Amino acid sequence: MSYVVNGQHHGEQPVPGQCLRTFLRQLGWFGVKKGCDAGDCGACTVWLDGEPVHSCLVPAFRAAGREVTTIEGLARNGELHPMQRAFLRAQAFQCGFCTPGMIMTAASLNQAQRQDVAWAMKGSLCRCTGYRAIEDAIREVAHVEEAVPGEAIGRSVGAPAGPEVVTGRARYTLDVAMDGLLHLKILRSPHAHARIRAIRREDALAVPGVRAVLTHEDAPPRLFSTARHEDPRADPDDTRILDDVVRHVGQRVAAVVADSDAAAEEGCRRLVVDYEPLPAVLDPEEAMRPGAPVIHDKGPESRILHPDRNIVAEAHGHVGDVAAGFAAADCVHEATYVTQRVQHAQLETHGAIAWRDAAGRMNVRSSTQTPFLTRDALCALFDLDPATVRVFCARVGGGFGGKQEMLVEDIVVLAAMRTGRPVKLEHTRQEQFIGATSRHPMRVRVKLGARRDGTLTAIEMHVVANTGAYGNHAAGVLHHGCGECVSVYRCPNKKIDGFAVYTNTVPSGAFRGYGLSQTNFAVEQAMDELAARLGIDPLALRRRNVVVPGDAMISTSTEPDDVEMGSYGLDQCLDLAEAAVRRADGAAPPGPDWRVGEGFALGMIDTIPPHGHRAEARIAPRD
Amino acid sequence: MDLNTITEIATPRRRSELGAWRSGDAWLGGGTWLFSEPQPHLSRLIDLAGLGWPSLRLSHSGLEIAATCRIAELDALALPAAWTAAPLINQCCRAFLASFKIWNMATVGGNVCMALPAGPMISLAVALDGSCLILTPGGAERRVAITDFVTGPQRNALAPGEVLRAIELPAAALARRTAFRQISLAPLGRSAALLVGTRGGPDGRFALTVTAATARPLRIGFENLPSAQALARRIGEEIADELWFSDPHGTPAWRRHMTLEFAEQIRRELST
Repeated sequence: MSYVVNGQHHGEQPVPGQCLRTFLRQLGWFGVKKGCDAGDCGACTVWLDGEPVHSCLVPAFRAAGREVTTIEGLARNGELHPMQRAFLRAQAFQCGFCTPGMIMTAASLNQAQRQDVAWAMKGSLCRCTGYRAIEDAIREVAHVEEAVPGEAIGRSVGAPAGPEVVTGRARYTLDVAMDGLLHLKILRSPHAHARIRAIRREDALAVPGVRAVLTHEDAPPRLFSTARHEDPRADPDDTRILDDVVRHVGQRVAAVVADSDAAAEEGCRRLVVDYEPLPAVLDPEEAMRPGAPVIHDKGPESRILHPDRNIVAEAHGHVGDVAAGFAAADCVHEATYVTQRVQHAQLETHGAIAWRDAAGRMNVRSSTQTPFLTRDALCALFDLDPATVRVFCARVGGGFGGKQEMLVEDIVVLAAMRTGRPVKLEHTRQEQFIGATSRHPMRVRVKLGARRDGTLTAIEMHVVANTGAYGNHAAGVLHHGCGECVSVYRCPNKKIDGFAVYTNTVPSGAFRGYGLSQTNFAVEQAMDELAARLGIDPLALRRRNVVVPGDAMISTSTEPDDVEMGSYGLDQCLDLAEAAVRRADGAAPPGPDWRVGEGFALGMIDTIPPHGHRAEARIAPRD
Repeated sequence: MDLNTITEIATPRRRSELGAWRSGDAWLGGGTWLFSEPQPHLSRLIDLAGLGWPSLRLSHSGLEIAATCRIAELDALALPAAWTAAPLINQCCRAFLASFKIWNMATVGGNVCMALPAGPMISLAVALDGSCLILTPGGAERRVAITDFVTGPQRNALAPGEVLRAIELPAAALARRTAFRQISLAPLGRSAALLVGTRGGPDGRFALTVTAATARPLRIGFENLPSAQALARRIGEEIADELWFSDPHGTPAWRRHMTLEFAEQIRRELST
């Protein structure tokens, strides 16, 4: 059987259960991406005899003798396909990981299908752009302008990587063929909380192709945090690469390294683990109560605030006198707002390849937002000299804060050190949900007091953040979440109490907004409720209370901070938002039976991470 | 995704080559569900595509849809003008959560055998009095009504080694008038209620098909067009509280509410 891809004949044969997606990538067609691997996202879309299909669902053998077209085969004779040009002109991508599948789908549409773009493009998921730019591309709307020398400033110029992205040539983390590559798969915990009594690895090691099994016995005892910050002390050291206690369903139990994913998976199935189940606590309020199971029985060196009460970090602040403020109020609104867990759902899952090069240096090619901080963490974890470790990214297929963590690099480096071979780990989509991180679920109680004219007299906020089984970003998210949502309002009396709490659930972590999405949701809903009760226009209520130039921005304390107003546009922002709503030129309700509501919210977010991320370059004149 | 425990693909060309069913076997239709989830219990796929079942066969007695007929083929079918139910086929195809790209692979039989409450090929077959032709091991065959074939969420009447061969829609059903209603939490989302009314044929009967809202499909028949009250009453009698389906795509109370709402809309549409 012969396979024809983009006009090239391949003699290589797929294995029986292989899908077309991995077979095409094995043949070097890296423009075919893995997003979900389950037929939902469309990132792997190719044409089979001219018909678009999700190649992750196509049994590879069915492509035999048929014509396969991938994004790499769409341009003919060096001439881009019109849809590739349209995506360039509309700048219809950000990370670009979904773009090959988007283009292969859009380029297949006939005129009738293009009449209903939403219907035609369902099954093609983008996480970055919000679809408008993609729809613009399909409708041949152009946004990119030419950068005319001397007049380029202020122009919407095309992304430099555009031509690579729309042709499938852009290389993401795992878009690389490497000789001698081993594949790592992880056995994950079925228990929310358990001690591992023993792991029997003989049967796994007997699987042909299995090269190594890694358990807590192979991992360094050193504790670290998966969170990456400029100052590693910003997070508690509560994590091991592989631990003898598992604290959430989905936590790593062991890793199997093998010649193929198939052998590594089989190895995982053959591991025999003896668990001693421990009591688990899933709710943060319960976890703080006396007698709740202690999740991290660790000493002060871990920098956990109250390990005995499962509290990683607290935030407290008090300015003025809130009791007096509420007493002086004509109207008080108090309510509790709850937000749920959210996964980042980057189209490119977490993944990395680690190998030692000929010079002895450990290289890690990773899908990360923090290559240098991850290098530092690896050096601390394995006692390595920074000059001997290089962590780098190719193009990253979406981060959203979720890749400000070291979630895969630690274990691929351990495996590469153990086997002396290059080792790859690629999360499955399921692992993203059970073994990566999420936004912190929060329960936020807000109490606002105001005079009849809308002037705020007191703000009180009580926050409980569920950080899950590990404290990565727990303190930072809590402090940030307790910050700008309150400091954007002038009010003499403020009181904030925040708690970041361990539970036996999947760890939370960094997610853009960094705590503020949750607390903004609470404070801004409370402000709208307050406006309604006072009979004041919600925008007027905000205008009356927002900080103006010269004001201090105070949330929990009047101590000097490293954040200040560089410029001020909040008044214009409110005016523009109001004008946009008053124009009322949005989409009409779908029918007379639809009720339409109106609400306002504002958000202020610091433009740099707390205390900054520093980079340094030195230029010295040559002698 | 790769199904790494699969060690063999069987590609029978005729029924006699199907061979003995063994533990770890699965029939491979379009593969769109099989390849969408890990299947570590499977070791062999038996590819039905090579059996060469004609996808669609029209005759005076009705329409035979092979289990291996792709959704895209069914959607593209042109039916005789007398078969007034024809638009229902396209309405049901568009009720798939899956994209049109999936239509190029997924099969009608696969959707029926998956037995998901929201499976729109089930809705189609129930509304048009479909029966399921089943090949049994040893060379025999049997037929069951579609309402007896789909017994619950992801449960069907197939015994190990049995395979769905075709869905048969009788000509009388295809000549009826139909009315279609569907809703999901998101536009273009997974159906939370999909109802079809049919009326006509020689006896002028009215029938209401309720799918997606319930754990298994139901067909409620009437001798004549019922009153609004009679229709609502029968729905209450036929659909016990525990039969309303519950999952993240809709609460039972909402599904029940929409069913009653749509049922009345359908009754009115077919009353003229």
